[in-house]
Amino acid sequence: MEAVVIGLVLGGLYALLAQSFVLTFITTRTLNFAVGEFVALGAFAAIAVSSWSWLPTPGKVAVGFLAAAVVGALVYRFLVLPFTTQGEHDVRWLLSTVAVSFVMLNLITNVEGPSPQRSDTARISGTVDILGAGVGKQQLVLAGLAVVISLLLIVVTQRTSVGLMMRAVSQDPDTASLMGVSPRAVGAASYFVAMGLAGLAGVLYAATVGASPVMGETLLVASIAVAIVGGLGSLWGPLLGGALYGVLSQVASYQWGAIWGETAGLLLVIVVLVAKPEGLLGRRMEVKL
Amino acid sequence: MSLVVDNAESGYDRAPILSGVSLRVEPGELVAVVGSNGAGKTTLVKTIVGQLALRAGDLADDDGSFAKLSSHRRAKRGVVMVPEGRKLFPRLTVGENIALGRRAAGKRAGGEDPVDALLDAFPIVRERWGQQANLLSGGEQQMVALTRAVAARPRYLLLDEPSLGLSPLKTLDVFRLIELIRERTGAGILLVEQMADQALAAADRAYVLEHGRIVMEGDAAKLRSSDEVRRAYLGVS
Amino acid sequence: MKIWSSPSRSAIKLAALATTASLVLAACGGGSDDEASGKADADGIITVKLGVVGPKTGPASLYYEYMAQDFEAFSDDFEEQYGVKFDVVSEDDQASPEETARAVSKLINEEGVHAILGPPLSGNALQVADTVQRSGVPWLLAGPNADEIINYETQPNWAFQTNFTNQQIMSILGERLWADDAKVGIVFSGDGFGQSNLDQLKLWAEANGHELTVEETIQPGAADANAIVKRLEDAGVESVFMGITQGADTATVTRSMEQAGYAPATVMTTGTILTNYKDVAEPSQWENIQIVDPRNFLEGGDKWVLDQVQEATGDAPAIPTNNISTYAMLDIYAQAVKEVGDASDKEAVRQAIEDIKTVHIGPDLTIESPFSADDHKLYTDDPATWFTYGFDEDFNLVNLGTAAECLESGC
Ligand SMILES: Nc1ncnc2c1ncn2[C@@H]1O[C@H](COP(=O)(O)OP(=O)(O)OP(=O)(O)O)[C@@H](O)[C@H]1O
Ligand SMILES: [Mg+2]
Repeated sequence: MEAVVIGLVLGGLYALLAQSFVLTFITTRTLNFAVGEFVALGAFAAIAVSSWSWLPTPGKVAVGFLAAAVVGALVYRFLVLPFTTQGEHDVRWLLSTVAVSFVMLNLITNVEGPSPQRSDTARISGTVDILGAGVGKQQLVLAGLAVVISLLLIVVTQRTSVGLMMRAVSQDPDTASLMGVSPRAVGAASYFVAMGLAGLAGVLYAATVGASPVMGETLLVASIAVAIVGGLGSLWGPLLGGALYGVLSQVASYQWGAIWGETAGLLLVIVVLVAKPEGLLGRRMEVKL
Repeated sequence: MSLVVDNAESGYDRAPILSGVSLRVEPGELVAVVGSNGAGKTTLVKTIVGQLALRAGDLADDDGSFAKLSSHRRAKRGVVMVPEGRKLFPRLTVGENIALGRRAAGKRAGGEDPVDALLDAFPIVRERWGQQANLLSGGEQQMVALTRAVAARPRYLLLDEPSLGLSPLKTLDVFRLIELIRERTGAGILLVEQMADQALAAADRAYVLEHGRIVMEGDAAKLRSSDEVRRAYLGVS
Repeated sequence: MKIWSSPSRSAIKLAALATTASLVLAACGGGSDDEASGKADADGIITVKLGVVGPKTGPASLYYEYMAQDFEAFSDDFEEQYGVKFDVVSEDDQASPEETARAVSKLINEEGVHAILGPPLSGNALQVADTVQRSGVPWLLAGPNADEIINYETQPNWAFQTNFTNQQIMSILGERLWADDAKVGIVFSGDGFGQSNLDQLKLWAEANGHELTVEETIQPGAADANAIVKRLEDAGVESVFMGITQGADTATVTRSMEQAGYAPATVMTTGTILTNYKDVAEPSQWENIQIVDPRNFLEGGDKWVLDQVQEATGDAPAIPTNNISTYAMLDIYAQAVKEVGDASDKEAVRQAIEDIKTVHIGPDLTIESPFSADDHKLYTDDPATWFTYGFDEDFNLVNLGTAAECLESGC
């Protein structure tokens, strides 16, 4: 039971980052492999303004979101978009986002140093007892946020005109542009929100583990796994994927030791890829003739 | 005041298709483009809306040249296309598809909504409003695609083979709808058609496209009765 | 009482920003002038070409920084004291085994260095152990703790260790951990350092008729250690040892302990907790932790070294334990070169190191004749010479007595 509760909570953190992958994938068919560095960017941005006493905590958290969001939109415009112009089989963006990851990691390390720095922004100490399991309040907030943000994204895409544009671009960007919708603008907006979410996760995560250049890198594998399990094409996917991955890896860790946790999670990915390559909630890609 | 294609050249990676194509569509006018398979008709309309790059020449509407604008900006100016094969958003509802069309209308929205007239004339679209677009029949899809284009309040409307794959009966419906659109929107319409006979009968003027060049142009009725056209496109020997 | 203040980041930031561009453009190796002949010049100064290997870039770069700090703080001292000047030729190993192999071979074959300092991480040192041993260059191991790096069957042996070794710390810790026949668990990092900790602890346990109840790995940067802690708790472990490279990962373990309300009677770790731990942990989480170390961080020569580093560089010592062991190593090597009078006579220098009489750590701490042909370790495993430390509210070290005293009367 304890493993289940903790797995669900931990899955929330991965789900939040998986949501960034899903968002950019839905609208641009690209994944930003530098997401981990955006986590760090958000965390350090919040630390940079932590001494501004006139700015209330939500403002500081917003700074973390915005810093990552703005850089994310720029990265899309200048380092992703130019490498997607050769049609559906053009995957040069894969290399360019990996390069972005390297460069950002080195830049952040040069500026901030490699050591974790304490971050008190939005820090919530203490533990609560949930069904007999001790859960850090900070982790609980992160998990709750993942759920709230996922639901929010779902409502926005299903109920608003912006969401309608997103869905149109997702299904057929060429035809969407015939409706006066700019797929590039929608793509940039998705990167803005997606990287903003990574930055937001960074601020909250750093309050527990400290901000360091590599803080996001270690979350990357699990987040991609969660996104794949849930389905890269579905905003519900990260919630289901996060819950499954979190619970499975925790239960395996409890039973057989920590190294089996990640292994079990990755086995889950393999099983899903074999049985349902588009992810549990994903839709089979239509083959365009 | 017209849509002008001036000496246009365009094509695909290693294949130049259009060369020196010039044509004109006045507001309220119905202009047909006929030509055999592979003549370059789709290439022409895609070039006009910006899905293919213009390599030489110019494109202009009432507000001047739009050759350098991206596709979605041309749509916002009122140069609207119904693509070959309808291209509805398959997993959006009929209503959502039409709502997307409205996004391009911008400042041109307002006044009497021509969409209402279309929906009254062809109630089937309204009946299917909440249904997912890929579950409609081909004919219904074409009705929705045309309605979606009208929701964009086009100043110039480009139709790429709207009768493609439809029964003769449905084809008649489509032509009636096109007539109604012309009446209600006052847009200049460029109609690309395989059904050359029907297209020429409906149109005011027409162009004949062969191997990426305009080989004939003029009054639609005259072209329809010309020997060359009859032999080449109307299956009369 | 605060011992070493946290580094002032703003100065670093400015400097880093200014140099980032040039760093990106020119992947630079340390330069060297050709005066480093290894022999005395007109003023009687011997310039030594010293190859330094470490992670200059990347997340482990603190493990290079401490060496740089020592050169900045003490180079002049050694020149004054022994007439030995270090011409440092540095190579970036990026903390990877492949890069380490490349760096070491470049220093030996292309640069023709007189001695090699580094690499600081055990796993990487193990990787190049044979190469260095075969090439006959004095190998100054001031960082790594793994015993496996030195194979005393090969003689003469070229490697010298001035940090304590894992075998030594395990014999000190073993007694503490298994006191009163407690059940013992280890949490170790999944790297060379952690693995060596595990191996040596098991060796000691086996030799002394004990058994390790739980062995758990923690991956660097793990998001939580809940499962690890749960397994310790379920197995009834009363003594926990954490052999973890990064203090931040140690913090993850203690955070999970607090969350689970798990408070074993004894929690021991190593000096690695002095780096990267405090900023990401809470006082309630370090209340119970103790470390053992052969160095006296609070007074005498060891403390002097740390204070000098802080003063000269304006930053806290990057890895305090290693700042000290590097000082000791440079002292030993400089003395040996002075005695031989020619750094390029590597065989003689090696012998002089092995025969060293007195190692100086700062002005008033000395260690007498630490080495012999089959013992190249500066410290011993005598509990009377090791210290036990706890931490106060502000994470300042508190000396709880020697390891021997703690064994006798508890700490
Ligand atoms: N994506 C493409 N890449 C390369 N060549 C193409 C491409 N699409 C069409 N073509 C070629 O361009 C020429 C013109 O094609 P286009 O589709 O414009 O013809 P069309 O007049 O619309 O024909 P249809 O009546 O069959 O629709 C043809 O020779 C065709 O093979
Ligand atoms: Mg065509």
